[in-house]
Amino acid sequence: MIYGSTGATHFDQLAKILTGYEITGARSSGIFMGILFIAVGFLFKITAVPFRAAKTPSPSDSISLLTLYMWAPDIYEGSPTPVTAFLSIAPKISISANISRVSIYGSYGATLQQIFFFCSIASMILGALAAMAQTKVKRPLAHSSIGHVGYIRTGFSCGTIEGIQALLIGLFIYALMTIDAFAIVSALRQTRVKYIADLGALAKTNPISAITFSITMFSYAGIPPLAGFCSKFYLFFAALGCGAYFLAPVGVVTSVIGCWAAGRLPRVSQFGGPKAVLRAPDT
Amino acid sequence: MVWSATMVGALLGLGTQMYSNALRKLPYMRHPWEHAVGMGLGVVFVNQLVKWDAQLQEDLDKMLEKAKAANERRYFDQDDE
Repeated sequence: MIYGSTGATHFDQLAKILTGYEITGARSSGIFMGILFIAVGFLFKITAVPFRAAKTPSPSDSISLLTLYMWAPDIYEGSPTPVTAFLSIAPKISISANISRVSIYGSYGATLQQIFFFCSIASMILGALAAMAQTKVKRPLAHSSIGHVGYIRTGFSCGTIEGIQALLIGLFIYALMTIDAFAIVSALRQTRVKYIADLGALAKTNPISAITFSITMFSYAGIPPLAGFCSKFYLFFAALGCGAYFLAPVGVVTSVIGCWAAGRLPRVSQFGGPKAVLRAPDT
Repeated sequence: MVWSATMVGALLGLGTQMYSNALRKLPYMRHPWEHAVGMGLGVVFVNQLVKWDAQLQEDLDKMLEKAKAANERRYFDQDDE
């Protein structure tokens, strides 16, 4: 649609046309829709809220036809753990690099910025709140990754060099944390860990894994002096630097809320008991 | 600087290998040659990291100088006209 409206495909030409479009306030539905569709496409791939695919509704949901379900937690839960790890890391890095390149060499104007600001805030809020209600191990990790995408989008939304720097730092640290978390979940597959309650005796059976998992989840929660705190620090300061005074406090509040969800896994693994053994009925 | 980087790298490599053994519930010093390999890799990694950081600082200073010169040419020279 952008090509249809502008006739240009080269980034340099698009930069001049789109910057002029933003500055002069010209109205072009083709350009606006094109920018919107590009943003939606990027945000869908990185599992940002609210761009999620509809799936077959669950029988218990009476208004299922009106509710959009998230593809990320369902796909993360249903896929083999190495595939889940790959899906939660690689698309985020590649799409972030892609859109950073498009925006740096092309144009990044108010239209795109408003969309990304909204999606950052929505992702942060949903990632923190939805993770609280989960009972399986992979789903809170999926929701944490949705929340982290919101934090990382904050850095990009700013449109400043500090924002891009914070984005790169955030991506690197997020990749390391996610590799760590899914490596431990993958190592526990022999003990058939599916629910959070199954982690109950991890501190007794494998204390090193339990400590590593705890440190990783604390990093996800953004507790200093771990790396997750440093990435959020840079991201929120970049947001404040560009004048996004609402976005930074929302990020801080959702981090605090997410501490409960992210802290649930180490709490259960360190202090929980072994899972109950099912007894055969008395004959 | 080189000695401290070497020591840190060796400790990092040794610690990583011991951690790897602990994670797999093996004795910490099982297969000691792996610890030697880890120490070697750690030394190489940290020394290269220190060199890369120094190079990065130099490159950044050059970029900032170029940008400053370009800005001065663009704005200050116009004021003289």
